[in-house]
Amino acid sequence: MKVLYFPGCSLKNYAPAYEKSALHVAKKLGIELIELKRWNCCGVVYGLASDSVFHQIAAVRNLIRAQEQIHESGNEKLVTLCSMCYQVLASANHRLSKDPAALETLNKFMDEEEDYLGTIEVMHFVQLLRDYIGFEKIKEYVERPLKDIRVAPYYGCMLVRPKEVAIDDPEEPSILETLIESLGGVPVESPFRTECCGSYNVVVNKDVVKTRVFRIVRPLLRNSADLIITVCPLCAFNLDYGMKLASRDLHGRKIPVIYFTELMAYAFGLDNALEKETLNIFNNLMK
Amino acid sequence: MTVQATVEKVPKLKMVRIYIMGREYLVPEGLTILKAMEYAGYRMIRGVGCRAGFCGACSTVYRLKDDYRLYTALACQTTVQDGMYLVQLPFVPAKKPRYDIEKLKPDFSTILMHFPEVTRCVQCNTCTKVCPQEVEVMDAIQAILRGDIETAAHLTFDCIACGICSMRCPAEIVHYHVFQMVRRLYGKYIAKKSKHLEERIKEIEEGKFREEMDRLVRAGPEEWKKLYAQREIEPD
Amino acid sequence: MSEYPGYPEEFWESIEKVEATRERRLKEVFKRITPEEKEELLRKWHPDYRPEGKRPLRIGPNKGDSVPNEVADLLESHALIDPKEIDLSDIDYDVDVLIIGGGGAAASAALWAHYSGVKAENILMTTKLRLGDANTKMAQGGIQAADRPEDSPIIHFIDVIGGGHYANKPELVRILVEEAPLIIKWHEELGLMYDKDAEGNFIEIHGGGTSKKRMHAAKDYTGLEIMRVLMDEILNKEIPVLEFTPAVELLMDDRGQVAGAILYNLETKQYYVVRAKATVLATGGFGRLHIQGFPTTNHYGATMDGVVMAYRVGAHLRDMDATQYHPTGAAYPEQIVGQLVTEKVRGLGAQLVNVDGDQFIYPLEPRDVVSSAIIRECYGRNKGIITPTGMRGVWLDSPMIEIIHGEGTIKRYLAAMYRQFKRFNIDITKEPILVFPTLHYMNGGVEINTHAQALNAKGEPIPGLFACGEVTGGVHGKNRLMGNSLLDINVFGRRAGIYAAEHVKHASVGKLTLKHIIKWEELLKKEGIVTDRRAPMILPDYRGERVLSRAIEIRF
Repeated sequence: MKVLYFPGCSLKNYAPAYEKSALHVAKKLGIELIELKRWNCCGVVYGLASDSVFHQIAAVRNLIRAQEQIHESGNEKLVTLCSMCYQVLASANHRLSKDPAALETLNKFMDEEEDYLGTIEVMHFVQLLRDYIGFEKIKEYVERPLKDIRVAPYYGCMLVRPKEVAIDDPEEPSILETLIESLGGVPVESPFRTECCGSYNVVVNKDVVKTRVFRIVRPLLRNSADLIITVCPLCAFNLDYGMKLASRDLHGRKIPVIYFTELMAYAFGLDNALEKETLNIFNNLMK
Repeated sequence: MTVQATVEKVPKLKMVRIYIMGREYLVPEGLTILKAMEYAGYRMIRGVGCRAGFCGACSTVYRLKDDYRLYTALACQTTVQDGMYLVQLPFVPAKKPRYDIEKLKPDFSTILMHFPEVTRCVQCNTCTKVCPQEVEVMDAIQAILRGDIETAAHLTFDCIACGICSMRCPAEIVHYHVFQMVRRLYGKYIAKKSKHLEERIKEIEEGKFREEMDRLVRAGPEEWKKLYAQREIEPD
Repeated sequence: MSEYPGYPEEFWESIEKVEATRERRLKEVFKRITPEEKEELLRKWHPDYRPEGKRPLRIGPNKGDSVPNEVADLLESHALIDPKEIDLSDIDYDVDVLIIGGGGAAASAALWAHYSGVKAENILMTTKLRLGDANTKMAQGGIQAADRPEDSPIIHFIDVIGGGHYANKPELVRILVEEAPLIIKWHEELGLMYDKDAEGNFIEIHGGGTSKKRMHAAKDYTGLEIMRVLMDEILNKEIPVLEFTPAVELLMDDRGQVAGAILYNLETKQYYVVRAKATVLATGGFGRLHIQGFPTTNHYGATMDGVVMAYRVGAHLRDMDATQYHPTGAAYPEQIVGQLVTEKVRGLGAQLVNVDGDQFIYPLEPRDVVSSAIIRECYGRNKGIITPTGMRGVWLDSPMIEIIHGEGTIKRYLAAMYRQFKRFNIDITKEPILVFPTLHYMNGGVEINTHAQALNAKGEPIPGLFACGEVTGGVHGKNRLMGNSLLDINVFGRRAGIYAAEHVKHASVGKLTLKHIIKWEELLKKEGIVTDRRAPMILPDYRGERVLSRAIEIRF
C-alpha cells in the first residue's frame, strides 16, 4: 500500500534513527511511505491554540499538500511518525471540520493555495500498523522473536488525548503492548505510561522533566524493564535526558530508550536499519 | 545615429493616472514606476540603485483601483498602471548580527543562536507572496528550521535583499540576513573545495610561471600580437 | 503565423525566420574575424572612432588628449564647492584610510586594509548611495581565473593583452592574472557560492575573447554574490560606512599630499571634512554620462566622480578614449532598454542573428568587435529590427541554449535573465532576445602602478592617493574582456588596501588645504574655458522636461 508521509522537523533534525528504522520496517511490510513534496513545520505548540485561526495555517497548509498528492497514493491518508505532529495535524483537521466558518476564513487567507476540503485522514504510523496491517500480520514478519525481552511502552500524552483525536484509550491504552507481544517481547507494566514527559520544558525548566521522568521510570526499574519504547522524538530525548538529570535519585540506573520502529526492525531482522549502538543493545539483551 | 529609445517618441502619447504617496500625477503609459516618478519630478536619492532589478533598492508597495490587495514590486522593473497607488520602502530597520564565519558551525544551532526569531515562523507564507524575485521564502525558512542548510542556500540564491518580506513578516524575521549567513555557511563548509585551485596557487607561489612571465611582460606588442594569433582556442 | 505575445506584431515574421534557420545554424560556426577585418570594422563602426564624438582636452595633465565629449564636459568644469565656504579647521573624521566608493573594489580595499593591520575604526568608507550600490552588483557572467591545469596565467595574460589591443600596462596585467587564483581562494574561504560540480570543481566556461574556459560564475548573479558576501564582511568587521554621502572634492595638504576629502550628505546637505593618511578612489565608471546618447548597463551613480576629483590633484588618465559598449544590451521592451544581457548567454551557445535569421559575426569575439558588428548590421546593412520607439536591434537566439545544453539550462544558469524578461511576458527559453550595444565600461581611467598608487603625468605616485577598479586605467588597455572587471576590483582593491595600510604606517598629514581648487579655477580661466558646468556630476537627472522647465530652488 502507498501512504503519504509527513516527517516533521524533529525527525529530520534530531531523530534520524527513528525515520530510518520506520522506513525500513514500512518497506518490509509492503507500505511505501511517500514523503510530501513540500512541507513545512506543523506549527507545534502554536498550532494547538484553538482560539487563533492564524495559527492553524501551518498545519492546514500541510493538509493541503497532502490533498495535492492524493493521486500518488490513491488514498487520503497522511501518516506521521512524530506524536506532536500527529496531535497538531489531527487536532487542526478535527477542529476545522467542526467549524466551517473558520475553514472558510483560512481558505480565503491562503489564497495562493487550493482550498482545503477537509477530507485528509491524519494517522500516526503505529495506528496505521494496527488498523491497516494488523498485529497478526506483523507476527508473520518476525524473523528474530524477542526471546522474552522485557519492554516498557511509553505513550506520552500526544497520542491518547484529547478524546477526539486519541488513537487508543487514554487511561488504558494497549496498542504498544499488543505490538510488543506480537514481536515476541514481554510488555512491562508501566503505570505512568500516558503521563507527559515534560515536553518543551526541557528547554526552559529542566526540573519539570527531571521530576516527571523520575516518576515514569522508577516503576519500570522495579519491574525490571530491559527497554523503553516510545513514539515521539521529544519523549525519547526527555526520557533519556531526564534519567541523567535524576540519576542520583535513580541510583545511577538507566534503561535504554528506543523507538518502537527500531524494536520492529530488530525483530524483522533488518540490521542495516539500525544504528550500531542500538544493534549492540539488542544483541546484548538477546544473549 | 540616435540610439536613445524613449517612450516619449511614440506619437500621441497616452497618459495614465498614478498616485505617488497619495498625490496624483499624469504620466505616459509604458513607463516603469521609477521612470514615472522621475517624469513627475522626483530627483531620486533613496529608492534607486542599479535600475536593473539586482540591488533591491527600489522596493515599492502599491494598490490598484477597486482592489483591496497589497501588491509589491521593484520600481525599476514594473510598468505603471492606471490608478496605481504607491509608496516606496527604501529602508528596513534591521541591524545584522556580527559574526566570524571562521568560528561558526554549519547547522541549525548556529542559525538559532543568531536569529532565534526564526522559530516564530507561523508559516503564513506572506513572505513568499510578496517576494519580487519569486524566491520560495517560507520554504527556505522551513528548510532552515529542519537544519537543511544546503536546500535553503539554493532556494535563496536569487534573493536581492529588497526587504519587503521582512517588513511584512508577522514574526518579525529579517529573512535576508538569515539567508546571507546560510549561504555563506553552505559555500564555506558544505560545498566541496576545488583541488585544482590549491594546486595552481602552489604552482604560482613556487614560481612555476615566473621566468616565462618576466619575459612576456618585457616582450612588447609585436611579440604579443604573434602569440595572440597563435592561441589555441579550447572548444566549448 | 505563430504568435509571440511579449513582442509587437511587426516582429513576428522575423522571429519565425530565426526559428526556421535555427536547426541549420546549430551546426554552423561563423568564421572568426581576421586582424585586418577587425581593424576595418572598428574603424568604420565602433562609436569610439566617430570624430564628432570626441574632442581634445583643453586643461590638465591630459591636455590635448582626445576624449569623449561628455568626459571632456566634466573634466572642463568648475568645482561644486567654493573653498571659502569650507572650514577646514573643523575636522569631522580623522582616519588612516578613506575609501571613496561602495562597490567591489572599495569593499576589497577596506577588507584588505583591515587584514593588513588597520583597525576598523581607522577606516572610513563613504559612498553616494548605499553600501553595495555599484556596478559590481550588476555584473552577471563571471570572473576569470586560470586555475585549471589546461590553462595558465601565461595564456590568460595573452588573452588580456590581445583583447586590450596591446595597449595595457603589462606589469598590471601580470598582477591581474597571477593573483586571480588567490582571489578565488579568498572567495571560497569567505563562503561564496560559485557554480561547482559534485566534486567541488568550478564549472568554468568561455567568455568573449578567452582562449580557455576560465569564467567562474555564480549562476548569472556572479557580481551580486561577490558583492553581498564582501558587504557582509564589511559589516561583520564593523568597518564604518557613510551612505548617501559622496565625496565632492579631494583634500590636499601643504606638502603636496592628498590628505582626505570633502564629503556631502545628500539628505541633510551638510559637508564633512575628512582627514586621511591614505585616500583610495574606488568610484567606478561613467555609464550615466550616456556617451553618444547610448543607454547604459551601469547603476544610477556611475558618473566618474573619482576621475574628475583625481584630475584636479594632478592624476594622469589613460585610455579615456576607449569606451566599452557591451554588445548585448536589451533593446526591447522599452522599459529595460540598455540593461545588460550577459555575455554568458553567448558563452552558452546563443548566436547573434539578423532580421532574416542569419548569423553575421562569431558571437564570442571581443566586445568591441561584436558591438561594431551589430551596429554595422543595423545601420550599415539595415538588417536590424526596428522597435516602436525607434530603437534598433538584432536577435540573440537564446532558445539554442536549451537545445545544446538541455531543457532547464536557462532557468538554472540564467535565472536573472529569465526573470527579467518574464516580467515583460517574454520567455527567453522559447523566444529570442532583441539586443543592441549599450554603454558598459570605462576601459581607461586614473593611471596606477602595481601598488595601486595614482600617478601624475610624469609617472610619479601622487602621495596619499590610491585607486582601484573601474576608475583606473591601464589594466585592460583599450578593451576589457568579460570576467576581468570582477577580477580587477578584487585584485587591485586588495592591493590598494594592502599598500594603503603600509603607507599609513609611516605617513603623516600636514595642514589641510583646498588651494588646488583655487588653482583649478584659475587654470580654467587661463585656458579660456567659459562654462557654467560643475563637476563631479554625482547623480544624473532624469526628471521630465515639463518639471525641469519649471523647477526652481527656493530657500525657506
